[in-house]
Amino acid sequence: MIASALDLGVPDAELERTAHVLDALEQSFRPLAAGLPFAAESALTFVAEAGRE
Amino acid sequence: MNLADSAAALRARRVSCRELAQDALRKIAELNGRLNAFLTVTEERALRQAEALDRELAAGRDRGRLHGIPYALKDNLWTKGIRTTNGSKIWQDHVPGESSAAFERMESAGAVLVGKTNLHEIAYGVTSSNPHFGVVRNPHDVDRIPGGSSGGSGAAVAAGIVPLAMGSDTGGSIRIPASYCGTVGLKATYGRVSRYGAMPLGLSLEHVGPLTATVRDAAIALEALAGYDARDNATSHRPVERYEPDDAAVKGIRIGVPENFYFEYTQDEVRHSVEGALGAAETAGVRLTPVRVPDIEALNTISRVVLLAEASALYEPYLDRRELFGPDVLALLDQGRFLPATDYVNAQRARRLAQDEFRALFCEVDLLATPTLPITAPRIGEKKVTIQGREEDVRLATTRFVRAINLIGLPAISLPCGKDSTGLPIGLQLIARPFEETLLLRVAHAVEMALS
Repeated sequence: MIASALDLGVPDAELERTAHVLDALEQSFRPLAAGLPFAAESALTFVAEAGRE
Repeated sequence: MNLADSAAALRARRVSCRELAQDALRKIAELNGRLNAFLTVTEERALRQAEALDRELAAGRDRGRLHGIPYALKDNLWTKGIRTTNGSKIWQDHVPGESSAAFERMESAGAVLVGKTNLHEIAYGVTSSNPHFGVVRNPHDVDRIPGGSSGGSGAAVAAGIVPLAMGSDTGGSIRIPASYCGTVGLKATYGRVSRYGAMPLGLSLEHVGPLTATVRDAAIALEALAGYDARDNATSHRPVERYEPDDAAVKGIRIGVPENFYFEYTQDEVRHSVEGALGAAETAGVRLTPVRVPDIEALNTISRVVLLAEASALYEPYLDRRELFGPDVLALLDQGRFLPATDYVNAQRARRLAQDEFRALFCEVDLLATPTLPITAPRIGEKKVTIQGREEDVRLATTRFVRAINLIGLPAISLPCGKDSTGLPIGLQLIARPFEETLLLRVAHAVEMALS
């Protein structure tokens, strides 16, 4: 993450703040993701016939 | 005068389209220095359009209830030939070559655009304290935020400048300013209103809809806005209904009142006010049913993951110029860049399951009723609020009851249901099954009548 942040030009102080917020979000999100049934479909499903009419 | 009353006055020849436009423009001149609700005022165009609409009425051509009604558009909706900033330095001088579907539909319904409203930068936030275009102020107390991101639209309607203003809602951005400013705010089902020409933020979450003084006015606006649009693949082919509420009985309609989540960590005055409104609804005939709602906190987390990823993906091309963004928006855009792609995919998978949970819940009840927000409008610059002893970030507190509904795409409305002891408005949120806007508006109208 640090390497990619340097590439993206995010200053150190902001990077630290970002990491702190994301850590908290990940802590809430990971258990939800881990509990998903293996075959659970995405809400965004590709439909071949869809498109502009 | 609200929209329906103005429409009636026009047809009774008590007022002209030009006079309605002039009145709105006079109020902008009088109040905008204080509120900063408008970024662009389209005076000359509005008066020219209003005169043409007067001539049409005189010749017997009546375009319907929006004919000659002055209104405003949030400045993230394209208006061909009229500056559209998205509240951003990136587009501060941008004049689009095309119009948004919302603008086109309002034009064809004969509504008169008087200006474009200020917003939270790129519609990504809840305060509308815009670092490039200034702070929008709440007409009920100018030291407080109007909410956001459609803050200028909320302030413009609440101050009585226009009876109708368009907003957009990706995580509550119509309902939040409606609640903080004491207006009605309607987000229809995802796909009911075309998003074409609405500058995108969270592609799978965003909606366009009206803020108005009354439920009836929101219904009139929705009738004009709704419908299939080949330029927006999410729009539905379902026919547009007649949404304007009649006085049909609401007796027996089952309103689910959540036992969990929605009344926790809510200011006492907000809770009492919403309970009072539900009592009035019950007197009007609805049946209140206690229900347990799905894990909304989990849905809020999922929604944050989806929005962070979608917004950062869109703004990636601009992020090498960090000076273009204000600090709060830049922080969110940075967060989205570091989320693993797996999180985004899993969030969309969890979203599908949440949709199933809501479908099951709506077998038990016809609508859900909740406070729109747990608090009344915070002070400008306030970062934290304390609710029942718990300190919470203003943005997270403000979005806590609204953002999950964008994830599920359900239609939802916020309507005023009281004020706190300092006179700040409180909103009631009603949520319906997909494409049941007619029922939603009928019940909202009945509650509004019961409270008046």
